[in-house]
Amino acid sequence: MRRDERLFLAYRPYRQRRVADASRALPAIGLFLFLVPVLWNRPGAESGAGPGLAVQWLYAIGVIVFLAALAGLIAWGLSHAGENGAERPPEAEKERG
Amino acid sequence: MLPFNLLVVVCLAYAVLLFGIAFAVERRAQRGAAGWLCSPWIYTLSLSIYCTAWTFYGAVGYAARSGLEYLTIYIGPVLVLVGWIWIVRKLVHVGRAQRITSVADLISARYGKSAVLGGLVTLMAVVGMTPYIALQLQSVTLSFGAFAHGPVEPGPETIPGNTALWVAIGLAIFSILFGTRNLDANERHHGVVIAIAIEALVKLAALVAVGVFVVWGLGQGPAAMLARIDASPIAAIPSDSSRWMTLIFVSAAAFLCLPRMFQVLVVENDDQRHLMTASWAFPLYLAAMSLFVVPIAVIGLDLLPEGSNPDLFVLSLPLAMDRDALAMLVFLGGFSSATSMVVVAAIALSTMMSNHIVMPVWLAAQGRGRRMSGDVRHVVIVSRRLSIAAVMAFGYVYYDFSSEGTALSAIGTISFVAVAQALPALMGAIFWRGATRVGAGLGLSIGFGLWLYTLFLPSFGADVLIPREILTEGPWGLGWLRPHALFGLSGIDPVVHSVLWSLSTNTLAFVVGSIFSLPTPLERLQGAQFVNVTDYSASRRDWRGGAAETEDLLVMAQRILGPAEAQALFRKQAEAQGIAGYLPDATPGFVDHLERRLAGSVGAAAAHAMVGQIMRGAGVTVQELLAVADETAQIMEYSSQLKAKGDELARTARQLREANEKLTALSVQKDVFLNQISHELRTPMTSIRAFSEILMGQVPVPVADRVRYTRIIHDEALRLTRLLDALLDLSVLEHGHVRPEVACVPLCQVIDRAVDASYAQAGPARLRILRDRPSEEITILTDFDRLSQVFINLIANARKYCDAADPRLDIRVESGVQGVTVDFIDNGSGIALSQHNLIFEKFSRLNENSRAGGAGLGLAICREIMEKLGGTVSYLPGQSGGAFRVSLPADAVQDLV
Repeated sequence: MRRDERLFLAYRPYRQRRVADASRALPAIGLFLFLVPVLWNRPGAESGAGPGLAVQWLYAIGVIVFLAALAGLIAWGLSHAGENGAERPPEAEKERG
Repeated sequence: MLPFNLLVVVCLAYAVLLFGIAFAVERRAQRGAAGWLCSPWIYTLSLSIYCTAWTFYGAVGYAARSGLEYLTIYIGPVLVLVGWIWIVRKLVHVGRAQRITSVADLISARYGKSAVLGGLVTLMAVVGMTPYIALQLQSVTLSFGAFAHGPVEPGPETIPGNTALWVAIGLAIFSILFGTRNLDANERHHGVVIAIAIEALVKLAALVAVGVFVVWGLGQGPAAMLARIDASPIAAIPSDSSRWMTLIFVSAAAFLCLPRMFQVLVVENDDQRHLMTASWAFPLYLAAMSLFVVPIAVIGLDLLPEGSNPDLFVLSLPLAMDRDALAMLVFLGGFSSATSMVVVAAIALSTMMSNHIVMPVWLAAQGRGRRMSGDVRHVVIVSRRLSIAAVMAFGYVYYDFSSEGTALSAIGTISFVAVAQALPALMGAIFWRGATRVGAGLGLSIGFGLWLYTLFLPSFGADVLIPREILTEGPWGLGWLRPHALFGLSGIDPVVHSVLWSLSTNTLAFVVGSIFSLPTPLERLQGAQFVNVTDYSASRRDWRGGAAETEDLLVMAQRILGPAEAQALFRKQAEAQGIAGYLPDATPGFVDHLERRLAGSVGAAAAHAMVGQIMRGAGVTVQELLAVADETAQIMEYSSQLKAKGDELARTARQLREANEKLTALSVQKDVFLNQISHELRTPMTSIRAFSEILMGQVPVPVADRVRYTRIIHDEALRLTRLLDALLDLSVLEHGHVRPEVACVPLCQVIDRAVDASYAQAGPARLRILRDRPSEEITILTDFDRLSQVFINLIANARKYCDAADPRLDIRVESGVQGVTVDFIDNGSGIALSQHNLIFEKFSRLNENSRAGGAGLGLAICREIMEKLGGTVSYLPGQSGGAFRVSLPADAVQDLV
């Protein structure tokens, strides 16, 4: 049986809602990653204990690119889950579960 | 070195080019060939007005002074956009459903179309944006100065002419030409958006070009670059975690609340799906914009002479290396950043000012009673142009006034904190139905006030707006009121301090104010529409507008939307209603639609007021809506009452039918009885007459016969008397005022008397009477004679009618809290069900040929007596034979003997 034909749940809207969940989780992940430099530079740490400026700079830019990539994947997932057979676009979705 | 005049010419040419493109695009859009103009890429690029001259020039300076902290300004928007599904999506939904024109409009519309709140937010935005616009002026002026004098910090006196003033005037003209071409802020400025998109590409290209030049041209490739970064003085700058976190938060808040960001993010949004693209493309854009900031700062610090302004490294590096083309590109990039920001900010702020400050004041000045006179359209356009000029003038005055040499980033942060004050009210508007205008007003005012006191006023430096003593000692010497150390919270960064106090008290006041205040009905409606915007975006009005004058509406709409557009709108509506001409019926849906269209031009509060003014007495106010709701409730109640009445009627009809059946039966019975009674009367009368005639006759009658005849006459006369007595008794009971002679009597005595009397009346008979003496030991308060009369009747009936072979009568007494019941149950065949209702009626008899010759009055008399005694007598079905129950009320029971 193909997964699209499962009877107990409409596969595409379900997948779409899960992708929307991932989208909701994204800012929390981003916030966590952006707070990592706070740990490196905490007041008690001896200077030079954390990574150097170049690494921190690349890390921060890297996190932005990483988040953008995830957001791109999610955007692709949302529009593809809505392509055929999806009863509801994500905009119309109300429930959180 | 480029000649300064060439610079000015290039600058003007660039502006003319942009204007030409914008103009062409508007023309295209008007012809309906918008197509690619509405692509998600254009939308994403238009968001780049977030990156102003502050970002373009200031970020490098920021990095040179504070290390990686400059990234916070990018991180906030990245977090907001990758999490677009939480907030931005809802804002766009609300913005589209309600035709929102600005942040002030959204907050005003949400909190009951409050003009006061709209004005307050506008005021905050204007005051908050003034430093920001000054910042753009400063950066453009600085960049001109860099061309003229090289990288060393130029003082204002060294800048040719009064560049800042000319830049301000130029930008004002640019904004007026671009921004007030069409009135409806809701009708998306395609031209401006395209111009912004082009400028976005120019500034990105410029910054990346400088970055590439710096890393590969000056820095000998990436690996060497990384080593130089680690070795640079920037690496030694300690980072401040509290500022890091605070600025991330503030920039995220500002991304949502900045008037120009709201304009491009929400108002200019064509399609919600564009958000999906922007959610990843814009963070990438920001990453590209921020990537080369650190290398440029590091190399700039390395190569440029001591005392160079780090805010200008982007420009001064190519200049110092004699890369004129690159320098020109950078200059155009910076110019683009400043102009796009100023144009959109001016458009957004002027919309807010004209809609929330000028129009309400103008409407109030017009007076409520009078209809609008003059061209409103003209008033709005003029007020917007004046607003733009005013905004630019404020910016220039601030620039002129603020302490020289203030770093660009510091000014920008002040603005960010100001607009972030709108965040609690904005979030409450779309997520919390309980938020009220009192709470929002309190929160905004307190937050704004604290921002003014702790950040804005001190930013000019000591003794400019705030005396030095207040800064160091606090007002009136109260140390705990020092602007940078409220309540003794000293030793932290002024920005962190200000954000902490202003936003926390703002939020607290907003929540507490909302909890302890009552919303107006309109607020409740709007709240539901905003918070549950995905649930129902249908019209909020569902009631006929009454006799609104459509023509007046058309006249007003023409003044605001322009004649052609207003007429088209009205005609289309009329067509939809199936009416020829330009005047559709003022249905609620139409009035609502019109109000939203007008709101796109003059803001929700003003549009509401204008339409309200036209509709006047017949206006659709929420109060009237509520009155209609009340009416509906009344109608519903009335109909439920009708239903109850209908039910009652049905019950009455059934009772009538029953009564009618009973009457018919009684009438039949009465006929039968009349036959009977005439027979009853006639029989004794006949014998009395016959025997008395015999006695009076000529023929002598023997003595024995005479005695017998006389006895017969006497007996018959007695029988007649009994009959008449009974009739008389009943009549007295029914109509007379018989007062029962109440006394305390033992129940057993009453029954004894009745049993004896029934024996005496009928003589010894076969009927056996069974009694349960102990249960009869009750004293009751009653009329002894009358009650015994009832009992006699019931016993006599049993004696007469019990048809059993061994007739038996059970007398059972029961007493309880409900009173006393005395049952008389015989073992005969009882009474048929159909007769139960009739036996207590007068003249009723079970069979026409009564053996006992009664008149059928006994039970009727019993019933009357029991009624007088406050009790009842009824037939008791379901026993072994005929059964009657006499009930005496509880208060007749005296005690148990």
